[in-house]
Amino acid sequence: MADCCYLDTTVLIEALFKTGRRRRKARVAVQGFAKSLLPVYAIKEMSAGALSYAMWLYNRLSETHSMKKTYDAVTSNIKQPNRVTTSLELLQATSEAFRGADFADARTPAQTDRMLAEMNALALRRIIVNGWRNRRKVTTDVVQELDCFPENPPYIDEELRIMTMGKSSCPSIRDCHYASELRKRPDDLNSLLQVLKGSTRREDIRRRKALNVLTRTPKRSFDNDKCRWLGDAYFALNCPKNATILTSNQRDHKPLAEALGKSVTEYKWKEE
Amino acid sequence: MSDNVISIDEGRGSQTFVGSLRPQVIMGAAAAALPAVFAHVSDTPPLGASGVPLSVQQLYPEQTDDSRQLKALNLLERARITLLDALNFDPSGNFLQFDQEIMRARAILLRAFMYRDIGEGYAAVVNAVIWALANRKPGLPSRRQINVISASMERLISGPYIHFDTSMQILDDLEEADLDIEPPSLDILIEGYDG
Repeated sequence: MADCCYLDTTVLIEALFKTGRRRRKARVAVQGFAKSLLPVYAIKEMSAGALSYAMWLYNRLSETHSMKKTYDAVTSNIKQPNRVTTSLELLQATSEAFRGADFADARTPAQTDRMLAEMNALALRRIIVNGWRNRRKVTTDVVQELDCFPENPPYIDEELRIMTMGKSSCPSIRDCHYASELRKRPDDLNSLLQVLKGSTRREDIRRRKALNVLTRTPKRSFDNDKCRWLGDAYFALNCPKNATILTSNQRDHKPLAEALGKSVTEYKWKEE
Repeated sequence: MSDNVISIDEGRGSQTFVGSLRPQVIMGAAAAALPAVFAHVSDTPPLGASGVPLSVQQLYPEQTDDSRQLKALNLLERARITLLDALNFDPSGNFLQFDQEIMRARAILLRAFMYRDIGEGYAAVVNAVIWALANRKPGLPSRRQINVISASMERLISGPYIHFDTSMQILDDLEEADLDIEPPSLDILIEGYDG
């Protein structure tokens, strides 16, 4: 096993934006490597993905004061292919912690729902604030800074009482920070295009478009959207040769990494 | 009321507690056990623009009902004492008595959570302890964990109007004591994001 890992966004999210035991387990896995590298690209992906979702969730809980309504919004608006939990099951699971206990002044199901929503919102707020605060502390090194990525923190807008975040995307008029270096590696870019050839998955189609912009139209600006579309290909392209990509999404990373002679180590939250 | 007990109703008057510069709110059994010493120096309450000392209501304009604060602090102290009482029982030999005290403390804290409008820091700490106790494994919390929880309660009793960011350190301490301070349902909600 390599003694250096290169974190992808999935493991960063596990280490920062999951609940207690999962966060600890992910950090222990990273600490198992003598050296660990976090590319700032992973922070950018995390900001646009898991962090934005967590903020939305917090605001939704705060707005509705209801676990049931929040969970219904989650299931009806966000794709969840393997999810079978219903909002009622969620409420039941949550309320189990209070079985036999005096639920103080919350005497009706609606009051109980409200109290639980506020409890979840409080816990989630801490996860968000701590997650952002610790984003550069998960690994031994943070590498490949992106001076075009503003890295703005989440905060509570005291006037509107909602959690918000400054602009997190790069200025669209600028060519991406790392694009000029990637254009000098046409062989690597073409190797990745070969791996993605024929795939009809949405993310692969976008990834191909981004790679094609770099290889075929080098004078065209590589903007924020293309940068995000690159996704997993970024990690294959930028992982140092002596490191392994640590990811919970081996299926997507492995073919790309192997095409460039790099290795992937899978991180699993649940033991099979 | 004993001369050595600082009353929340009457405030500190013209006396300053020598042991700490922080405002002290001490109640119940803890107060009775405390050898309080006072210095006869004039207090220096915050002054308004006109030079008149600010009232608690002026300092905390959103907190107009002192009785709510009193009730909340009483509940916190009751919960803290109940947790410490649990330490009188060895969970391996007297599990029922031990766990009964833990359940009692959690029920008291659920009542304390009803006063969460005291502030976000207060709400965050009470919430964390409620879930730390709700998520406990059989025979737990340990003596060390109970002492950490008790310290967090003391911190809240001595200054309930803490900012959310200030409460984060207290929550970190609880988590470092291996307490699981988040509601299990949060796992399910967070899973809504599938990357």
